[in-house]
Formats: sequence, C-alpha cells, structure tokens
Amino acid sequence: MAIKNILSKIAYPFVKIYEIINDFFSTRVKYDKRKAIWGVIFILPLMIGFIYFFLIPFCTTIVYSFSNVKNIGTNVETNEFIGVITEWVGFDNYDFIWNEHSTFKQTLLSSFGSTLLDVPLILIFSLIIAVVLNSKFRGRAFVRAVFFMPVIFNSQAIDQAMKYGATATSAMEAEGADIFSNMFNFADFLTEANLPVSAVNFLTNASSSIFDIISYSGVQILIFLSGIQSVPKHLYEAAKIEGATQYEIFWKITFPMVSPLMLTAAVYTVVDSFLRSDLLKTMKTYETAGVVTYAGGLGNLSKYGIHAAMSLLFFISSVLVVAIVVILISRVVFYYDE
Amino acid sequence: MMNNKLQFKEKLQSDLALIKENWSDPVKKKVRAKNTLIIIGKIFRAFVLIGLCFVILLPIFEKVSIALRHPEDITDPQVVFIPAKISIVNFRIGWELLGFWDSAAKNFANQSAFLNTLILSTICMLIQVMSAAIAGYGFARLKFKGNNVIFYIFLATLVVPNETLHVSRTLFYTNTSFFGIKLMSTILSMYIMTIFGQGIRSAIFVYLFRQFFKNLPLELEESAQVDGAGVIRTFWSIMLPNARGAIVTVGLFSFVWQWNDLYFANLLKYSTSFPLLATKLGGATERLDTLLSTWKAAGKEVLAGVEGLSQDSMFRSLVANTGALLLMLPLLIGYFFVQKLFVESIERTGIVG
Repeated sequence: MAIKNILSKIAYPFVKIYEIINDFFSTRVKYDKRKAIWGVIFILPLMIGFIYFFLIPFCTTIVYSFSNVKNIGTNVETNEFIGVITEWVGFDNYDFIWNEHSTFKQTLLSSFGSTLLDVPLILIFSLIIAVVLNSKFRGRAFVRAVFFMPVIFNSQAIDQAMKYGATATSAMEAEGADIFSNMFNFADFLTEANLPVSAVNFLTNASSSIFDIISYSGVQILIFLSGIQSVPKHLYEAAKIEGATQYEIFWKITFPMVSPLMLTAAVYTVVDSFLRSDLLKTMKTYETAGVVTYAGGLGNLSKYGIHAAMSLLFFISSVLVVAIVVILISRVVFYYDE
Repeated sequence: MMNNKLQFKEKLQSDLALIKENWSDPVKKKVRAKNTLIIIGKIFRAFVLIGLCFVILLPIFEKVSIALRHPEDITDPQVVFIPAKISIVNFRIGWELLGFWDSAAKNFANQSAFLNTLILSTICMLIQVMSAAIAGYGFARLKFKGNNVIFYIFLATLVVPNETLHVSRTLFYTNTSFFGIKLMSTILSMYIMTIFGQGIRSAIFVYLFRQFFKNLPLELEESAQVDGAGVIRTFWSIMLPNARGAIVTVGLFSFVWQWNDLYFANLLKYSTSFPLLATKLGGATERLDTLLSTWKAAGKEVLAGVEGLSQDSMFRSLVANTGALLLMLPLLIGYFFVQKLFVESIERTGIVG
C-alpha cells in the first residue's frame, strides 16, 4: 500500500506533464492554436540547423574578417583546450585585399559584370525555351528530356576534370571536328551586315557560349515551365476566341502571368552565376592555415582572416547584384489577383 | 471514248476556275497567309530545337568517342569522331582510378566508390525530401507569429555562397561537436546537416515544397480536419501523397547535386574514410603513374607498345575525359529511366511566385 502511494507520488508530476501535453494536442485546444504549435515543431529542426550550421559560422566570418586568426586547438604541453584565437586588426585584411592583392579587385569586377550579362541572357533564353517546350509538337517528350540533361553534367567535379580533358577536345577541334563552325563564320557575317563592333562581339560571345547558357538554365526553364502551366486556361481560350495571334498571346498573357517568377529565376541565376566566379579559385588559396606578409600595419596577417574578408566582400557584391536585379525586374512584374 | 475526254476537259476547266476563285478570295487569302506563317513558325521551331539538342548532345557524343579511342589513336589526325581502333583500355584505367569497384579491398567502405556515392546520394535524397516537405508544410500551412519572417530569413541563406563560410565552418567544426557528435571526417555529418536543413541547396527545396503546399486547395485540409484528423495525420496521409510532383523534382535534383558534390566532401573531409566518385575524379590523373606501374609490375600488359604514355598530356586528358564520362554515366542511365516521371512531375510542380 505504502509503496503504491510513493509510486503514485513520484509519478504525479509526469502524469501532470503528460496531461498538459495531451491538452495541447487534443481537441480541447483550438485547432488554430494547435496548428501554430505544430508549426513551431515542424520548423524547429530547420531553425537549429540554421543557427548552428549557418548563423554561427556567418557571424564568426564577420569577426574573422577584422582579425588575425590562429587555430591552436589543444595545447600540447598543458593538455588544455584553447581552440581559435582572434586578434583584432581592424581593416588590415581589407586593406591587404584591396591594395596589395594582385588580382582580387579585377576578378571581383569581372564576375560582377559577367553576372549582370548572364542574367538577361539566361532569363530570356529559358523563358523562350519554356514557351516552346510547353507547346505541342511531335517528339516533345524527347526534346524535354534532352533539355534537362545539362542539369546532370553541370557540376564542379566534371568542370575540374575537364580542365585536364580540355586538351583532347581542343586537339579534336584542331583536327576538324569544328567543321560546322568553319562552314559559316558568324562574326564575318555580322560585320558584313554593317553592325557595330560591340554588337558583333556581344552576339558572337552569346552564340559561342550557347552551350554554357543551356547548361546553366535548366532550373530556370523548370521554373518558367511550371509557371506557364499554372496560368488559368480560360485566359488563353478567351484570347483565341478574340483572334489574338501567338505573338500577342505571349506578350499580353504569358509574359505578365509568368513575370513574378522572373524574380525567383533571376535571383537563382545571380546566385548560381556567382558560384561559378573565378573569385572562388582565388579564395581557395587562402583556405589553409598560414600567414601572408603585409607591408602596412603591425606585421603578418593570417590567411584565415584574409579569406573571411574576401568572403564578406564577395557576399556583399552578390547581394548588390541581387538588389540591382530585383529592383530592375520588379518594375515589370505583374501580380494577378484572382 | 470521246465523251470521256470531253468530260475530263470540262472538269479540269471547272476545277481551274474554282482554284482561281479561291486564290483571289480575300478571306481565304488571309487564312492562307496565316497557315503559311504557322508552317514557317513550325519549321523555325524545329530548326532551333534540333540545333539546341545537337549542341547539348554533342559533348556527350564527343566524350564517348574520345573515351573509346585506343591510346595509339590520339595523335592520329585522321581520327575525328569514329575511332579507328575501338578499345576499352581507357574505361579500364578510369574504372580503376575512380575506384569504381574493387572487390579485393577488405574494408567495405573502400570497396566501391560507386556504391558509396549511390548510398550517400540515396540516403541524402530521402532525408532531403522528408525534411524539406516537413519544413515546407510548416511554412505554408501551419502559421504562427513570425512564420513568414523566418521563411524569408531562411531563404536569404541562398544568397550566401557556401564557399564563403568554408574557413569559419572548418574551424568551428574541428573545435566543437554537435550535441556530442564530432562533425569532421565522418559521413554522419552530411546526414546531420541534411536533416537540419543545411544540406545541398536545401533552401530551394523548402521553397519548392512551400509553394506546392500553398497551391493545394484549402478544402482538402479542412475536410480532413472535420473528419477528426490531427496535424500530423493530415500532413502524412493527405498532403504528402498529393505532393508527388514536388517530391519527384526535389528527389531528382537532390540526388544529382549530391552525386556531383565536391564542396561538402571537401568541408567535412569524409572522403578519406568514405571514397566517392566525385572526389576521386579530382586527382585521377595524378594517380595515373602509380596505377600504370603497379599494372606493369603485376604483368598486365594493358598498354603494350605505347610505353611512356602516362606523361603525355593528351593521354592524361583522355583519361580525365573518360573519368568524367564514368561519373556521368550512372546518372545518364538513371535519368533515361526516370525522365518520363520527371517531365510529368514538372507539369504538377506548379510553383507560383
């Protein structure tokens, strides 16, 4: 009897907690409130990951960019754990990158420019392709399957391997595999047509990088394709009855309806394009421990700190490009209220 | 006979008159013009599509053609696309360099880089789909205060390239542990990061699922609620089965990106204990010398007659080409089987900005 009493006393708080939890999740609590609680629970893992794997490294990157970083780990003599030591150096890291590093500034500017050039090309191309892939024709399944293939082999690992592989391909081209491009010289044709040199350069660059554009626009085509498919069908039917041409239908219906997705696709393009920048190669040399001699200031700077400063500049410039693109595109965006 | 001929002539004349009338009819003229335009448009579209398909397929064809070439052929100017001497020597070398399958290895993890990559990609794909679906549903339908703000902050992580966090992540992970789990040089850390929504481009997947769930009719959920289903039950047996399109898209992309991933392999350094195809491809040409000398010592005359080739840059690039093809090949074969499912799923993904 006594044992049972004691047991029930010990169990009491647990029973109470169980009841409280049960209350929360049972029908006694309003459904909306229960949903809100479940919402927090559903998002909790994401938040933990966000804080631990993203926010802490991001904040430390900011701190590192202003300091001299040394990774000591465990002190061998005293067996005491020390970890990372930071020493405040102000803007020395940035000063080094901006004034003493030989290529950083140029690479940053060029990746800035190439991204801004990439965005309109890829957006226009993927929108056109999405419209074409959406129309009905024979062999559509095959063409669609082919167009998403570049998503598979658009990867860093293959790019790296192909750096070695480039010799074989170029030798092959020298042997005559580029017979297709020799039959018809695009640049000559355009200059014959009296176009200005800058326009010729732009067009030839665009056409020679057509493979790159295709392989980088897989996801964007996907975004636009699903956008086009979610346009209400009655709009097209009404336009057809009124006798609109395909051209008019595109500009008056498809384009405005898909325009909110422009924003998504553009932001994705910017981010993706920045990931391909040469800047990352420059940064890779600073990923390891080591010091760099620095003429101004107190003395040597650690490579870690320079990497952090480069990262921050890189991040700021990509945010800038995203902001520019978002401001430019949000002018043509049209929101359709049902 | 005569009658027949006359009849025929008359018919011909009447036909001609009809054609003439049709030709000059203004309404029919318009229809004709429109039809011609449509046909020209179709021909133009066919040209563009065939051209672009050619541009996409040419590099694959080139890679296959280069890979099938016998090393003797590489300096032969007469060989352009079709090799004069077809051989699978390159494939054997690439196979060995990538560690595709090595049954002699004692440790299971070292046995096959292909199997390792397959296991990693499959598990990460499943986790990615699950965690992205849960979070996406939370963001889309289980509203609480600050729900949208958290979502946009989370989405903003996309703008920060992973590479920029490399150093601070490395230092942080080597010096701390995640709830008692050491993160460095273990394959477990990749799974942990994926579970907690920081896998390869998880933000995009969460975004995709959120848009998808937002577009599902509200009535679906409400009727489940009226029937007495709780939140989890509604999610598991009503919403998730309807999200097939998003599941297929997310699954395919996460699988492919995980397969080709180098960043996380370099960051978490799990590739030493768990060799992967993508990481092995990077230093493949550097290991060429050792491989050829061990083969020679074992008495395998794979490259008889072409001694000293391993230093040749052409041969090295040949091997690199074959390695890249071997990395892609399982994906291409897999894609061949799932492409129908994938293309169908696009129709139902329905992302709206």
